[in-house]
Amino acid sequence: MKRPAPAPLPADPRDVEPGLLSINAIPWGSVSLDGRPVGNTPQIDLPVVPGPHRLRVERDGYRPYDRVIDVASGQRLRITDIALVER
Amino acid sequence: MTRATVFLSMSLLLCGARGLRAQAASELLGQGVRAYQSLEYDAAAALLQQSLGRDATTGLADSLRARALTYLAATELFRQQRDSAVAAFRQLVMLNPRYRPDELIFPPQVTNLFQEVRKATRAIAVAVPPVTALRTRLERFTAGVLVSSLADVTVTLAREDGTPVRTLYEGPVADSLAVKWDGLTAAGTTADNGRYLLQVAPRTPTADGPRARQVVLEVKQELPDTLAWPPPLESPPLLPERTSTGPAFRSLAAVPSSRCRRSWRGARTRRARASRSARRWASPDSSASSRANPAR
Repeated sequence: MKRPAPAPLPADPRDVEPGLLSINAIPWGSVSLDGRPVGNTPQIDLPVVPGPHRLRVERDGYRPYDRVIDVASGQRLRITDIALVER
Repeated sequence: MTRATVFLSMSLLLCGARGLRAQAASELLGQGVRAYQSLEYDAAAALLQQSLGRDATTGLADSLRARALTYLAATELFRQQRDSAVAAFRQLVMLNPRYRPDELIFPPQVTNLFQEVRKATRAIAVAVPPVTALRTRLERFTAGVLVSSLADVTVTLAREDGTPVRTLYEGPVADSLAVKWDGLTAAGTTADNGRYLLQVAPRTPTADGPRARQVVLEVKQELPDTLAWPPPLESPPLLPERTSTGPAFRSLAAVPSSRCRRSWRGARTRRARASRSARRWASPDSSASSRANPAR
């Protein structure tokens, strides 16, 4: 009788290769990831834990850019065409 | 087959190189800006340097050159090449001391570095129109003197060999100054056609002060296309008004009295007719009633 294969163990987050996120916007704005501010645009190769994240780029007087992004392990994700629109 | 492939690839390389040379500097600038926005900083730096490296004939105009230098400095800063960014910004301040990077596009880390460099770089620039022909006494030639920080300067016009022709301005310049020249020398005579140097120099040169700048002017004096104004009259030409009215009255008195009466009566009739028609036009009701009642 063949035994079922054991379920894979959850990987240690320290072993998982992070994704790299690069962001640019015109005009420049403040970037926050999952509600945590990370700095102004441009952001280059920001290490991100794989999985879904809420990305927000905002600037006074402009409508914020707000999206949920999914970053895979080892992926280099570039979002460079963000154009903030005046309110 | 291999030889043919090598030949083909060599031809393509040569054609590509020739095409790249022919490519306008402004196209390279556009590609460099797009590469910067896509965060491809190595490619952006290469393209922007190429656009700036073009010679005067295929090169960028000063405004585009300033744009290229700003993007290059920002690119170098984000590539962690701070010294190169400072060098590009210094070049930008020397080119146009009044230029400021767009604060909508460039984040504070870029604009703050620019302000640092601008304060440390004391520069003078001279802006002249492309055509320097002027009509003496009728037109003035205007040149702009731009400084990055307060400077005490002397603006002199000199012949090509350096002989001074006229001092146009001496004093402080905080930001910019428009210097005008009417085409005359210091002695008040018309300057000859030819090449002149517009020199802007600090009045007290120091080691860390701004360097003197000079621009070559091709001066071509043009004669005015109309005749000069006639000299002013010594007395007004309206002489009758200044003389007595005696002769006019005498001529009136010479008219026979019967003719005078006739003409006076005729004038009275004409006046009465005119006032009647004016009343009719002014109020149609009154004219209607006058028609309805002719005895009135």
